[in-house]
Amino acid sequence: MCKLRLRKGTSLFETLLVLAILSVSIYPLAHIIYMSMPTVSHTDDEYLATLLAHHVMETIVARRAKDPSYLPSMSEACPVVASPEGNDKISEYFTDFKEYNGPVTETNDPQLYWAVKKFKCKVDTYFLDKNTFKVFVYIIYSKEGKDKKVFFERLLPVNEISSDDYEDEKEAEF
Amino acid sequence: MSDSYKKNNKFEFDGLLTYAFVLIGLVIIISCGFFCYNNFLVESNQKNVIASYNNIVTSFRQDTHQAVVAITASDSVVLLDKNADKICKYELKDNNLVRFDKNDNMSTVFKSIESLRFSISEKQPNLLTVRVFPSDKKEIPFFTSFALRGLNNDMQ
Repeated sequence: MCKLRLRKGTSLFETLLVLAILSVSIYPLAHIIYMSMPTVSHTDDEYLATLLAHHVMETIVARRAKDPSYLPSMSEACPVVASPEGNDKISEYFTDFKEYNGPVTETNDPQLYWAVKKFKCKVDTYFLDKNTFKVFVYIIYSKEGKDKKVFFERLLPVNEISSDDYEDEKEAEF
Repeated sequence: MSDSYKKNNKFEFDGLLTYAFVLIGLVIIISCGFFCYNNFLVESNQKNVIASYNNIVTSFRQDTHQAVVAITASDSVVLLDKNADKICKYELKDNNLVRFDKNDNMSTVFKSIESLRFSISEKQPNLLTVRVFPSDKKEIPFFTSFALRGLNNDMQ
């Protein structure tokens, strides 16, 4: 039997015991080092949601470049691809792709369809003040039973809208 | 053998139980190494794809800031500024996404691509959509758009 008692020298068992304990301590140590690294941790879903939110925000920017009076409207959370049943309304920012003649579907691009099927897009807007409009783009998805969201926000200058229009908009919002 | 070690007071082998403990110790050490590899190094490799995707975003954002027109083919795009001068060209070459600047100097933006698509909507000609499907099917695809900001500079 191995006898654990204080004595001079070190047995192989004790050496390995110490090594085993030290190796167990590597995991929390590595975890602490990993957590203290400056890079922001992204999961695949989070990153893809960020890319989709970027697509929506760039679409708004492009529409405003074409028509400076354009302001995005608020929308509920809508899917970004068409379901086979075709019941759900697709987000307006994902309905017009030239090569598909419409939205992404399971048949025209299955790889992209299954990658983004879980995501929904929601847009919130409000007037920050008379000349500034604020847009929030949310990409929402479920992970492990919990709803997660990635959002972009942007301030848009309101140049083309009259003060009367602004008051109307303000009342309508409340 | 164990007697000689006992005399030297360095190593002691007291039967099978000691060997079992030694084995358990080795198993713990190996499993800890495996968990560290699995949780941190593998995740770090996955982040390399995201870092490469960040390269695409950064590169396109810089180029589309001056771009007014994008001329697209299925797997290539040329960006032109307001003077109709070429800013750069992106294309799929040897399964890599490469960028040629206005002097035709080539740089690789993303490696190992299965397919690549650039598109411009008819309704929205100032919006370039980029799709990248990497060779590794386990990786997420790249899908986003970039507004061509060359004309309307207040939309930076």
